[in-house]
Amino acid sequence: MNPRIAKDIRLIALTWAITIALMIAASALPQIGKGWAVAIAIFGCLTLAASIFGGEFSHGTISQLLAQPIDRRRIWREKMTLVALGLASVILTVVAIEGTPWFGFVGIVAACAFCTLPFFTLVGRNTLSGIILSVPIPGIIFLIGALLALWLLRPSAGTVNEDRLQFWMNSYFYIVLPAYCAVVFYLGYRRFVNFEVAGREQPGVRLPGSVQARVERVASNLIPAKYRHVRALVAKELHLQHNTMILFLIFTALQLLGLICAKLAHVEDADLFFIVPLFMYVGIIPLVIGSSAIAEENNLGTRAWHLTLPCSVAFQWFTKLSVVLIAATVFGVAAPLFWVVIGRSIGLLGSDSFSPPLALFFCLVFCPPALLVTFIAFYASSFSRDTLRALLTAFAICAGIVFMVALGGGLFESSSLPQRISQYSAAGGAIRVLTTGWVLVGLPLSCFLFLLLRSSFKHFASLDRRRIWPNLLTVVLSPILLFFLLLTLAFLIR
Amino acid sequence: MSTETPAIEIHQLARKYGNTDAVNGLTLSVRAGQCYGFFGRNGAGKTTTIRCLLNLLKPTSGSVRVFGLDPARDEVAVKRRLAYVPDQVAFYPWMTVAQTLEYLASFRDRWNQQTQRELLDRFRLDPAKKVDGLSKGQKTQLALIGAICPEPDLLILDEPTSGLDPIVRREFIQTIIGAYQETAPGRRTVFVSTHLISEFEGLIDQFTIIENGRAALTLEADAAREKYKKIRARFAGEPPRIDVPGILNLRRVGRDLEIVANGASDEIIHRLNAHAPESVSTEALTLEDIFLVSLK
Repeated sequence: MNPRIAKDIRLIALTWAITIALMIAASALPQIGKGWAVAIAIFGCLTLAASIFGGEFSHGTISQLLAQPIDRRRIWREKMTLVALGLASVILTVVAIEGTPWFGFVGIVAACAFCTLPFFTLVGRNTLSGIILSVPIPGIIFLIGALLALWLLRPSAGTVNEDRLQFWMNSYFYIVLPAYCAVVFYLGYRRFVNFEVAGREQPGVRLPGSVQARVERVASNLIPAKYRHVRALVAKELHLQHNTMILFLIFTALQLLGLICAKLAHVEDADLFFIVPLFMYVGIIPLVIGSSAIAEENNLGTRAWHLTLPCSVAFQWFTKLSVVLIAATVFGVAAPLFWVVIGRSIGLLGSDSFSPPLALFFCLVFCPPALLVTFIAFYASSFSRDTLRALLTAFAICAGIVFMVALGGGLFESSSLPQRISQYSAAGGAIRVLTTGWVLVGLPLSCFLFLLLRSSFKHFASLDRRRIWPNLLTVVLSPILLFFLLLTLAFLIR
Repeated sequence: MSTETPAIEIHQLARKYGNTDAVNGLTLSVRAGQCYGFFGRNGAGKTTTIRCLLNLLKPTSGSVRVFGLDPARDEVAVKRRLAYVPDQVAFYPWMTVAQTLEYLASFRDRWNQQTQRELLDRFRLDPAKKVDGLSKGQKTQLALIGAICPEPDLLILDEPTSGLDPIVRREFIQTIIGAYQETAPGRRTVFVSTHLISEFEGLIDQFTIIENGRAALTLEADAAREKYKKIRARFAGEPPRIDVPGILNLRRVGRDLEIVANGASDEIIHRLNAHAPESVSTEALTLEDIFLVSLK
């Protein structure tokens, strides 16, 4: 095989393999599996299309590639053909797993990814920036178009002409979106053919300096001036979270537009405008926050010398963790909670959507998983070479855990345990059942958190990249083994 | 701590990467106040050794001490006394030159503002310029300023002059490192790993050549120049055959005989004189020549 093509295959192989493997694994899960498989396919399509050029940036090989005596148009053709093949295989897997209902939706996402991701990756000069830029723009176009359509339709008395609304939807999917994709694809092609290597190391897409400075100032004022090294560290960590801030701003813009659309359209079902972006955001933001913490320093190449500064490694790590936790609380928990409150107060989220009290819902159901995902991403970030790899690894770990929990749940359902527990509970042992439940879940979870944090510190403190796989398996499998051990013990004691 | 405590003491250091021995039983000692050269081919184990010194890597076996302290146990105390310039310099791209130095200064108890100003002027670095817009050489200059301004007792330089143009390189090595040591003689130590041995020729007090993770040669620079000699002799006819222990390299060019000797120069000259040469001259080898002959 042509070594150049082999190299290009290598650039997308990891993403492709993870996507296909996770989709197949997810499809085996009862109930939620197929939905997960589609979500994984979408995420995989975006990453795969961005990796073909993003990989060249993360390896620092783009200038070397463009310096070779070969026509750039040929490189473009070869790369895009491979991406097309990769995306086609993902679509085929979706069809094989899901059947045809999802074919159209995943096909549209894959086509958009194929056309737009190369351009945005070349603009952002790294994979993650490419994804962050490319995803919301079609959404923003859709929402602005929807606003325009709603203004033209002028809904009154709480009703919208469904036919005319359908006309807008068709116009968007059959004219606006393809036209947008075609233009961006051409722009991507032109950009690659005329691409200039500025010699900068992954500038990416950053927030304006004034915005960052303002955020820094607010954070710095919270720390006494005599601890200037802590101030400097916190400011630096906030800068490393620039992907989080960009994502947050984009989400806020999307949510605002969605809110206006939903309000103007008098929709009863707010899913499309309000809840879908919210769920996408709450799913992605903890991953981005955790992944950026350490891997972003690897991207920049500053990690090694920073560890040699006269400030203990433990303190540097602790500062990182603290900033990550605060960012996760603010951007990953408080911001979605704010939007849920807004949605409820204007009547977009009825009692059907969130029936338990909001505070309780967030404290018990939403906050712990968000923080857990942040911790997992922080751990993945400690040994990953760049932020995207950290994000993918964290996503794979989370998917693996969901898979195992679902599998465990299935086993639990099929065993006689639920029946026994209800009998036991009826016999007056409810408190013991509850206590056993807390021990069964709490101990493995504590063990998992302890291993995550301990391992992330170990990886952070040393540049040694060996023993990552054994460590990964230990971190993920130990709590599961502990869980089953405790379960067996619970049975034996009874 | 007594003044006798070495700035760096490495004893039987070994570090493996899987089955590969990056460093394998390295032993060396650097006295305080010295400029110590650490030479070796690519992949000889120089950067791994430096990373073990900085506690960025844990030794597989052996021990490492910096000013008598264990870098793993007394991490902050060690790092307070040293500054490090890596081979691949990188900074936070959103910071300006001044902000980067301010950032580095925030971790230090001591920071010489006057030195900072002088060096910025000398290197013609604009404090308001973004780090992202600096060339590779300018980033190295910035890293050097950041390492010298806190006036550390130990300066660890890993290929410090890569990317610098010849003028700046010479200025950096002879003026800055020289001045840095002279301001506190006997206290400030420089540990430099480099390929550009000739550039550091006049500064190096002692050096170690590392090969396959072991110290192949450790010598005082003056003693090395005394020991390693190049002897040239011209004869009326064909040069004679000389066989003396200590000859590292022997080359015949026409009527000339060129010998690189290791410590046996008197004996060799005595033997050559026995063959009535037209002329005999000796010269000390440069450190770079010593490096080349000892790795042959």
